[in-house]
Amino acid sequence: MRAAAKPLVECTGLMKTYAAGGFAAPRGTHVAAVGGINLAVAPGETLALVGESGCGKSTTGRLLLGLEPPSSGSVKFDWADLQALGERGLRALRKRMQIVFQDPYGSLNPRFSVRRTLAEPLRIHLKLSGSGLEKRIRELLESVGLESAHAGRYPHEFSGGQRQRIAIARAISVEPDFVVADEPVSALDISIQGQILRLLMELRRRLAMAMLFISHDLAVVRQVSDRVAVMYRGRLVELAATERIFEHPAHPYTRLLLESVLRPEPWRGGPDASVRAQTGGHAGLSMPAGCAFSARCPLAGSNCLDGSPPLREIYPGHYCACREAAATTNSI
Amino acid sequence: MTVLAATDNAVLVRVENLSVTLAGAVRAVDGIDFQIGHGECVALVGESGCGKTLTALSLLRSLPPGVEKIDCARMEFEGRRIDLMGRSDLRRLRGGQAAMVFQDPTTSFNPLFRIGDQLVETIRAHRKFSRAAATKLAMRCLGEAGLEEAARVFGSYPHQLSGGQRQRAFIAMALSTEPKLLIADEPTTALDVTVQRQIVDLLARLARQRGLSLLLITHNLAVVARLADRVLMMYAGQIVECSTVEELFSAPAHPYSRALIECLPSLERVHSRPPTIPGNVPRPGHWPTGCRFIDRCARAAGGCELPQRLKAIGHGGRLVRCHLAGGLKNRVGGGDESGG
Ligand SMILES: Nc1ncnc2c1ncn2[C@@H]1O[C@H](COP(=O)(O)OP(=O)(O)OP(=O)(O)O)[C@@H](O)[C@H]1O
Ligand SMILES: Nc1ncnc2c1ncn2[C@@H]1O[C@H](COP(=O)(O)OP(=O)(O)OP(=O)(O)O)[C@@H](O)[C@H]1O
Ligand SMILES: [Mg+2]
Ligand SMILES: [Mg+2]
Repeated sequence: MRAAAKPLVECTGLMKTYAAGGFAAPRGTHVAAVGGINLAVAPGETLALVGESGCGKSTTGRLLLGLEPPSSGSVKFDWADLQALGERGLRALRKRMQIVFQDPYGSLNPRFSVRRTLAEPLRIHLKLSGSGLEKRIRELLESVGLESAHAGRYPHEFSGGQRQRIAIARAISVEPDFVVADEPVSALDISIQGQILRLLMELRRRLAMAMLFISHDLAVVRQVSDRVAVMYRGRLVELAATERIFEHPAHPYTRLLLESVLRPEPWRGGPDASVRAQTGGHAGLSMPAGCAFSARCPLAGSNCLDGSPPLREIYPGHYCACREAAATTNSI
Repeated sequence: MTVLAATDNAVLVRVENLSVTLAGAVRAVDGIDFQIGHGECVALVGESGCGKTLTALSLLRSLPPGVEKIDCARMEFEGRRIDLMGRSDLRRLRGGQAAMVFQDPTTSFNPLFRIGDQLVETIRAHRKFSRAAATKLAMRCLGEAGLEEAARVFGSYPHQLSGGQRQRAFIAMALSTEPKLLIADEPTTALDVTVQRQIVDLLARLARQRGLSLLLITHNLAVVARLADRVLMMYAGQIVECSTVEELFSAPAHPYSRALIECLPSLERVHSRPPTIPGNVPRPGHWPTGCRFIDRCARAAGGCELPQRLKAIGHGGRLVRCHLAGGLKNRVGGGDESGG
């Protein structure tokens, strides 16, 4: 699915820089966590965001929800500019946009029982109380494979995967229009993972819930997403429909990523290329002058050092930020 | 007594009949035996909530709140009885010769101190290093764990790092004391595939070169296949299968193992719906008296309602907790339909 005429969430020129810690960083140095991103998510669309650890995925997710202000650029939710809304306006939008944090334990209040964690948004946003509230809490817990008998327990009394599911239950409890799901199934075994993915896919169908799905698991990404955005050091380097990305990856970084997937059956000799280039998972204190990937890129040539390449449409709906790739892609 | 070791030469860790009881006298881990050899990697795999983390924590005798007690016949590390150790010996063991990478990133680092200071502190607590030497080692460990910007990470507070950077920094800290045993609870969940590979290769190299032993807990079966020598499959507080990696992936013996492997998503094989094993794991305190997988097993038959014992199949020390096993081999892909 392409982002249609009316996107639900849209960002333009989105940037975030942080002050860097560390003795190697003189005062005033910054980390460019997100370095200018344009992205749109349509209602009901699942857009996957993939990329190296530290490339800026979680930061992008937080910015899209207005949990942090961008250093520059803007985010629109349903045409409303988040920055212009102010605190009160944002609070009114909270019911419609939710997040599953990458670190579920840190995001759950250790002093709140699961019942209280789930009840709060239901009371505030859906005005539920009494038996209606209890019933909804029960349904939510069961939908993520937990027993309603556990509602009285506290976060530390759950296993890692159980906590992750509590965080998911909280995010979907108010039936939001948009969810940023940051590694939502990373702590789950494949059977429960399947159960959660089915649940999310059903919500998308039933409520037209849109999702930014951040994940390192490319098999899962292929399963659930409509489009995939690939990020490298704070920038988008490729964006296309899911099938297109997996069948015709254009950017050399996307190709490296797909080649690096560990296979469960190494001895069966499937495609299992070794990592050619060393990894470099960070936004970089100093961005290279040209393409950020050029240092690791097998295609790198002299014109790669000439400014950061922009995203260009190389096929309908398929965008790639590489000057060299376009020539080789369609020959695959 | 059951012996769960493929190799008997030089056992580093020996655990016999380990049980963990939660508050309210509820069993969460129920009579586990295993051994880990020098340089061996043993993977502990199983459904969310089956007791993997509690098993790992008990090995270092760290009881989280809510856990009432640990029972065992014996727990040994290099022939020393962990279960009889005093406080100071235990403290020396933890984070020194036996290091742990925790599943829960928030408990990994103290949020109030810089990453580098915590590394230096740990190194100096376990090894006789000057501050300068410890700093140098810390930087090297961060680099080895795939952190290119080691200097920035060193000087950052935990909240200033991304999820995967924090995870790698913690792996670096765990390895900085040159442990003999690394217990790694979901060490690669926040890592992209290229970094994942780097960590897996690092651990494999340490096992080869230094004889590092690993207890690896992960849901990522590709990492298991890469790194592990043997797999302990856990279900509802028990070990239900102990096999080599090759045995497990080519012919899983326990119906739960087989169902799990059939759910494996792959880049090539896209299911119309994500596969799952129908039903839920029974929670602690509500385990059936017979086979604990009975309600979800496609092959449940007469005899399954009786308690199941681990039995040997084949000659290589393979063990399965299923009275039907043996006749069930070589039938992967035989179509446990994944229902709703
Ligand atoms: N509060 C902060 N202060 C300083 N630097 C930060 C802060 N938050 C994030 N960063 C830096 O910004 C970059 C992007 O971080 P982010 O958490 O968005 O990465 P990510 O893509 O989600 O990575 P991962 O896959 O490891 O979770 C990283 O290099 C990180 O160190
Ligand atoms: N501190 C605690 N207090 C009470 N119950 C607990 C505590 N820790 C774990 N449990 C319960 O014990 C069982 C086993 O938990 P454990 O954390 O060992 O699971 P796990 O196999 O590591 O699962 P996951 O893959 O989800 O991390 C779970 O049902 C959990 O709810
Ligand atoms: Mg992140
Ligand atoms: Mg766990």
